[in-house]
Amino acid sequence: MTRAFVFVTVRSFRNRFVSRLKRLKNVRYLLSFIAGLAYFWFFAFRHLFDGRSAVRNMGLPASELFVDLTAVLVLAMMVLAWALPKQSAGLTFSEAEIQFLFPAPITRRQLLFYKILRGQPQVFISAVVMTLVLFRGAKFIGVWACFVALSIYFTLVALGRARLKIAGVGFLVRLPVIAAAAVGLGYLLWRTVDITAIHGIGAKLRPGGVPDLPALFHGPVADTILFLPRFFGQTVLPASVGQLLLSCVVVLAAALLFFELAARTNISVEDASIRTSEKSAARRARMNEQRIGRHVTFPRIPPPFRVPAGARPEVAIYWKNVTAGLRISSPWVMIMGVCALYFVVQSFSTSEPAIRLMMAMFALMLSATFPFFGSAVFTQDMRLDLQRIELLKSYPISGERLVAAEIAGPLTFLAAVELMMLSVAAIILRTADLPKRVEFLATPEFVVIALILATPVCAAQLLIRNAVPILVPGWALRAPDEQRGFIVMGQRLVTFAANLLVLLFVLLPAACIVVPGLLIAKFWLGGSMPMVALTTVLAAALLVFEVWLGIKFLGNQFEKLDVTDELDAVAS
Amino acid sequence: MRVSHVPPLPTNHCAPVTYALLMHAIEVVRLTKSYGAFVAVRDFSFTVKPGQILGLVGPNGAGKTTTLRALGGIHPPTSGQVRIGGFDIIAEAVEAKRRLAFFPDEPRLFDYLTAEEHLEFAAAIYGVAEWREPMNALLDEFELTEKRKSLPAELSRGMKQKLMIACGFIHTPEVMIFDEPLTGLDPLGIRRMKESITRRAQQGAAVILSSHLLHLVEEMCDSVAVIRKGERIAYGTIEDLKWQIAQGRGDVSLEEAFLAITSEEPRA
Repeated sequence: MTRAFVFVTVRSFRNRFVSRLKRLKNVRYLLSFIAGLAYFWFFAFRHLFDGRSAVRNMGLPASELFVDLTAVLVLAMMVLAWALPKQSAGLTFSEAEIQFLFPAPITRRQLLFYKILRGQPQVFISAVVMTLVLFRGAKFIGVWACFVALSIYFTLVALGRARLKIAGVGFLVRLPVIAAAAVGLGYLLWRTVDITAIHGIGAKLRPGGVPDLPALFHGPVADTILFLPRFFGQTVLPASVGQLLLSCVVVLAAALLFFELAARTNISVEDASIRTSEKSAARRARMNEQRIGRHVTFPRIPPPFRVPAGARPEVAIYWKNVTAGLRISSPWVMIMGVCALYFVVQSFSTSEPAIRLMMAMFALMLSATFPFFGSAVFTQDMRLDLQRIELLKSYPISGERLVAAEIAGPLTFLAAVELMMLSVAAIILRTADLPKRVEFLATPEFVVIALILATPVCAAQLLIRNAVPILVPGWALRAPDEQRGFIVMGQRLVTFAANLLVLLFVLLPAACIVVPGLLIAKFWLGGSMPMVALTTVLAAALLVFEVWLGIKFLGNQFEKLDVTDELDAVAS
Repeated sequence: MRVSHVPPLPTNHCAPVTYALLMHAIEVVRLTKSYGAFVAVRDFSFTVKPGQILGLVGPNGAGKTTTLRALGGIHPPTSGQVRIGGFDIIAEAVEAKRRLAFFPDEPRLFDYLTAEEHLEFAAAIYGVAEWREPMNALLDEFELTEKRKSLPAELSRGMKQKLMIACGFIHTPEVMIFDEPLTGLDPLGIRRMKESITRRAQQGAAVILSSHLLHLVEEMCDSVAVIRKGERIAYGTIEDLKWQIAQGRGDVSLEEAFLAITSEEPRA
């Protein structure tokens, strides 16, 4: 039986790894993998091998003091784990595990062994990450042994809590007892503290300082309480190879003991495990549904209008998306409305110019960034419809018209909120005492430019967001087991960077019209408003033209899009 | 054993049709669909006339769904031609799709629209001007009247399936493509659905139906195309297929015929 368990654990790990590796043959996945790897390298591992870096010196020195501190941390976790409220014997299994293992002729002990074994790849990865990121002075093998023992211990505690519950010792009884035990142990340990060990610790830890700090707790009481936890401390921060080996042996022996005790609880885990696993799956599904821009918050809001008889299919798509926007993203419209109201009320009720200026700047910043983050909130377009792409593709509407109709719905909300925020910012800016260098923000010219350009900019941003599900559908809709990892991190980075780049590229031609136009109006035509308006309208027209080109391109791509390649894996 | 003649028009389907009986509602000529080096469907040809129901059967992974998706314009064929009501599904996609209703095996509804709004939306997409009466009739037919104000989350799997099919019926399509239409339905639901599909065929719709339920195919379809490893290995009326397999041994069921056909190596 052990062979079967080891087989499924090792094969699952290997197959997952190999399937990820195979995906890298696809250039888009390789690119996102490299981006993800680069991100992790720069933010987590870059300083690992850099001797000059301060981060490297964060590794704890292998001194008795830090062994004691680690031991206390382990002890606290071990004791407080008994105080957790969960008292069902439920262990989380996948649907397949429940289907295969529960009716299989295996003992409860073997089931428990399987559960612990299946958790080991994750324990291994956690140990690697913790060794690299947090315990850099530690030996990996020690951290791993420590994690293995703790993972088994926590399984024992979970089953122990369930056994206590059966014996009539529920959470409300356990909590005060464990709290009292924790306080008692803490008090006993505190009495054994050698204050001189802490004294001058900062100086000793400076680069080049001597890390040989004495133990914090002394005496037979401390030695008794910390007997086992100190071995955990020594596995993580061993002073010598001999100590590492000895402590690893003790910790792994403790792990065996924990397993034996867990198996002897002989508690029925099956029913509770099915319930726990179902709850866990439901929670994951709920979290997925409740992501921003997906959860139907107000299902009873009526559609804003009726589709006229004989209307074109585009109108139907627009109607659907506006209805979806009202039911899904209304809270965000309300939040923005409340913000706008607060800014106005606060500005006009205060006599403090600084507060008014602050409100004006908040409103302006919010309206400046809203097209970007607002387009992530109003997602009732191709992004939300990607799951139903089969249906979309069977509709009698060309790709170009479909894409245009899809983004029209969220654009209505995005542009409306943006125009509201800009108007609020303009009103407050007129009354605020602006510093000289930003006075132009309150000029009518600036307000005109902002109001005219707002909608085309929002449309451009929405179009860019919609390019992801059409050009790389597998990035926009991921299978449940592909929500994490280097590749996904890379995909997010690449799409974020590409969004900014494309937006910049789209806005550049419009800026080339607006900026010279403004300069001409200011220096040669005495600030002529008609000139400002004309150049802005021209820039807006150029933006609209670019959006139209983008719609044509994406519509064409949509028609070519083959859903089978990437989406079937997600749907299954 | 290949049966490759075009099946005759069924004699029991004599209701008026919307256009000339001689015209093929569905024409598939040498359809091929590849994914890189893998050929999912190869040189697949068949026709379906108005009022006819064609069953598409084959083992798992044979290429049935790929074929149906190509017919529905969901993915473009690598080569070959698909014509719906005389319109090319790629070159004249909008006209072709206006005549078409595609029913995938998994009902994927809009989470934020009620049952009634789904039908309203489907009517608008297909340009149905007078949709209220047909909508009420369809809600009645599929026993969804009480659930008309419900969101998909409040519907069972079977109800979702019925709603999806009702949405496809609202524009009275001339061509209907069903991928496993009876999945998730209860026995009464299956019976009603069979009646619904058959009635629409009798009214002139051309129907393609993919299913693993061979007794259903035998009961509903006039002709059948058997596909294996992406290739058509048999095509004809059910009676022809059965006769070919029986070879004078008496009566055989479609299931026996299917097993006999699919257990052989495909012919060149």
